[in-house]
Amino acid sequence: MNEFIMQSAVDQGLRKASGAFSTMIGMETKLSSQGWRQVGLNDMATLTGGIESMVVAVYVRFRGDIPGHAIFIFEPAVAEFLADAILGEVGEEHIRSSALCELGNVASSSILNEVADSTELAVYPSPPMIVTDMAGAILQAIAVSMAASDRQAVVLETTISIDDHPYSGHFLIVPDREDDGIRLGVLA
Amino acid sequence: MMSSFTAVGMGELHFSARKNLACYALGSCVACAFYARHQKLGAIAHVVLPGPSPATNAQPHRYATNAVDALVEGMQEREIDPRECEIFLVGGAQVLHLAPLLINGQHIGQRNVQAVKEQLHKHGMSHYREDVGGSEGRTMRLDLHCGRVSVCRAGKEEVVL
Repeated sequence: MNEFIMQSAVDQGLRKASGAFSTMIGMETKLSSQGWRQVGLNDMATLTGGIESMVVAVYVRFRGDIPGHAIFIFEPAVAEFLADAILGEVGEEHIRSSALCELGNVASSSILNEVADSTELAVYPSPPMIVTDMAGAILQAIAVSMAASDRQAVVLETTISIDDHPYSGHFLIVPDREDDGIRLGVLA
Repeated sequence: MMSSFTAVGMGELHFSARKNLACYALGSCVACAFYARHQKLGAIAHVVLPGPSPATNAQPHRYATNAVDALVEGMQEREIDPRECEIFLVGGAQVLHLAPLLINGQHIGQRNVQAVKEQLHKHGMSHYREDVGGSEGRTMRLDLHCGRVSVCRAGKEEVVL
């Protein structure tokens, strides 16, 4: 797979997610990324401030031709800002959670759908779930579910700009089969 | 007082007479700790999966049965009666509800806890302190000097087990 095809699929996915975010938030919102890189699952936690650091993660399992896991990870303070942006500084905890969950879901499915369309591979995302816990414990669940102690993941360092205020997050894709990542040109 | 801890990673088993031991961010994994108070010697196995290890596995201590056996044998090699050790079990949570983490309808954390306990019973050890199950990640620390085991749940204060 040509890396440029993947790059344009990801860019298109980010644009679609930006449009959907703007509608959700009711303000000009942009989801952007400087590109992807490869990180081992075990090292991923260091990007978020250590394995014990608390994070908010929106998790989507996807099946089809290239099964895997997609996770959008935010620091709790960023998650609070984003929930505020969507709902105003109100709302019960579960409503704020589900708003954030939907935001992560929109981002994941926009990117995954574009990748699927441009590669003509089937990708079927499952309903999203949101969890707040130690980064290491969340990533461990994914490693254990694949019966692996470490796996290579594709990471997009993302920025959500709302009204010119940037909020950073990590978008992580872990293919079940490392070969799929290599075939798509996102893992070496 | 700050003290440093040696991290016991997934599938690892450490014996230590000097450096304190810790298992960070346990999800479905179970930390099984043995502490010999007279000798101030401790050991932690970071168990990932239930059952005995397949024969070809390069990391047998990932599996509950092998990990507990190795803890028992390691103590015996150091001329310590493992039945006189204090035993602690921490972890076995269900942080993410993922289908591949279910075995016969039970989540893998529950199965890990069960498997470790069964193997302990086989060695005649049925007394242990535990903080297991639930849905939150945990960090376990073992201070060798005083035998203090503390557990910190995600976003909560540390408690002594």
